[in-house]
Amino acid sequence: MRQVFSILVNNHPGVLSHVAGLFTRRSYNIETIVATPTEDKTITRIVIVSQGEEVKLNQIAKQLRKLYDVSFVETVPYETEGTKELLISILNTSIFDSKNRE
Amino acid sequence: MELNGSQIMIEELKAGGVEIAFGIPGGAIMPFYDELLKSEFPHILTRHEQGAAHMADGYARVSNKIAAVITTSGPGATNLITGLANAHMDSIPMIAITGQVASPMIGTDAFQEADTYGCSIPVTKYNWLIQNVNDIQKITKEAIKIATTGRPGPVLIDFPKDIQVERTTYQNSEYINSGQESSPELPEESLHGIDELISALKQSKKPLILAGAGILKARASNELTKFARNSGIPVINTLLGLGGFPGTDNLFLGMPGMHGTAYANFALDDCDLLINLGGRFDDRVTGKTSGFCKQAKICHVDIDPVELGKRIHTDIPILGNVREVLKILNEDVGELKCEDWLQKIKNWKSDFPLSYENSDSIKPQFVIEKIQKLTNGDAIYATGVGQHQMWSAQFIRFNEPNSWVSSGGLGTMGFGLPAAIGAKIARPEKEVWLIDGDGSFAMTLTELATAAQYGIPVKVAILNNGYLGMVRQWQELFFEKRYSHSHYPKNPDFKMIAEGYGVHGIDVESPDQVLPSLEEASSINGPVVINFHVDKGENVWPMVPAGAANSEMQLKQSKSDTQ
Repeated sequence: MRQVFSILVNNHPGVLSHVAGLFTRRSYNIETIVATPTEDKTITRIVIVSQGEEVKLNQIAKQLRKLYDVSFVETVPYETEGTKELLISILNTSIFDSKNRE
Repeated sequence: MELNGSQIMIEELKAGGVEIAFGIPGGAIMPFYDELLKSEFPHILTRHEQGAAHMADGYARVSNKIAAVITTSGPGATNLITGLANAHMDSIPMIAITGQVASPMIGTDAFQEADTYGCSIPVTKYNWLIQNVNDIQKITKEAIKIATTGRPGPVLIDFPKDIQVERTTYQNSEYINSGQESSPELPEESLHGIDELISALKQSKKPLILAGAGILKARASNELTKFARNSGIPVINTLLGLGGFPGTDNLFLGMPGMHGTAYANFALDDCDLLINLGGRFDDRVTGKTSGFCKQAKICHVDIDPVELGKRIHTDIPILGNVREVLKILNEDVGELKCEDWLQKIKNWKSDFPLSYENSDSIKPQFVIEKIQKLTNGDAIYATGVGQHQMWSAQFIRFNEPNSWVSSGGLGTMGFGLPAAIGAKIARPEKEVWLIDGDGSFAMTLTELATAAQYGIPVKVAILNNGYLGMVRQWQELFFEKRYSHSHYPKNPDFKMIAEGYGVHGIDVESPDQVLPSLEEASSINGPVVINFHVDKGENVWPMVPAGAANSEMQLKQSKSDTQ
């Protein structure tokens, strides 16, 4: 079975190594991975799709929660509407800042 | 006040309760070492960085305190990796500080540059590369906290040389004793789990406790002993849990699994309720998981949520500090009156005791029995990894928690000598015996120089069979006696080696000299190495073959195996 892990992590140079390293170390496979900063620049969202037995997928979620940089883990079964397609758009929100409006 | 980066880190180490460091200086850590000297921070200079890490490891195992390990960049840091991995597998707190080339040089393949941050991710609980002098206070505080709380583990701080000398303003931190962790409250779910366990206990006719190293880390030894004795439930200790329950108690069944006692494995196979207190169901404990505790309801108490259900399906998972769980059990559980079960176990114990056959040559088990006799279970016992380690786990009767220093999860040969030195430094009032194999000992014997330099009186008993004994045993049993590269026919003269390091050496070749040599070593005020020439063909029994169920255990050497 396939599962989507949507996680929030601290945004610093080593964090992707910590997350990817967990998958390497425990022999979990990453099918797709997307990382992008959130509206809060200190927090990055990483979305990973992985595959395996239910026990293994539960372990991945638990192991991710254990990482110090991970503040939130959401798991979504792959076979739901929302995960069939993925759109990532980056909006430049600086035009809404009061300074720029002037 | 204004301090430089090195001074700030040293202040924070002191404030965090770190009382000693082990290490070796080199180019990229010299400014830090300069401040170490000026601040008179206690430091043991070792001969190899791996030795420094194992010393900090042994120190933590017997004292529940955290020590620092300091190395230079590049090879200094990479030499540390085995020591970190070992501590990580066995959940031992440790703070490693590695020098790094100056910030502007990082990434240029500078002299003695290595990606220490990247290398240490998989072998630490957490790690940092300092990028700003103003982060040092926060990082060092966090490092000590992460290493010592929850499930403990090693942490690493990579410290670029330019930031070691950069100055900034610093406000003193309050002193925190890292050795005194307060137990956090149990989550609501765990309280329900405990209720479930209590009702399972009431229905159980054959309950069994499997107590792991979590008992030692949570300082729950007294609570465990009280619980087992009041309820009358027999106790198995995992390899790393040894010492968590008195080895002389009638309820004690020894170690389970691959080289566990026959009665521990019988009890696991026959029990109807297994309570795992702070163990992680290691594969050496469970054997083939489908054949593990087939008839039992399984309850697992662990502070790490990842461990619950990782290898064994658990009926009653309880997340939390095992001491807090035991406190509640001690209030709510009385005597269970499982006489038939206890009688059955008693019969197993008398029918299938640990045994070996004595002969004219020195049997390795005989040496360990004599060490046990001499020290009465009151010393600290360290080991390397292999046959001698299993015999030690089988034949020593531990009286106290934190008196066993052995590499479990990683199985690191060479762990013994430096770990024993670290243990002796932490507990100078205790006699420290290292029981080692010739293979293990030769891997880190250079630390004899450290024992000699600082006058650290560890007593070393080498069970020298001239083989990588456990490999030889497997080759005999599973590879049709093809002894592929497991033989050391030209071992060095360990007595002369010891003397070369300025350490007292003794050579023993006959069984009647075993006890006198141990007594001689014990009476000498300084480190001693005894080289016991033991039986070369002795195997560890019982044995569960790798991949088999515990019930498929072989009790002793079968006739067809002998030559």
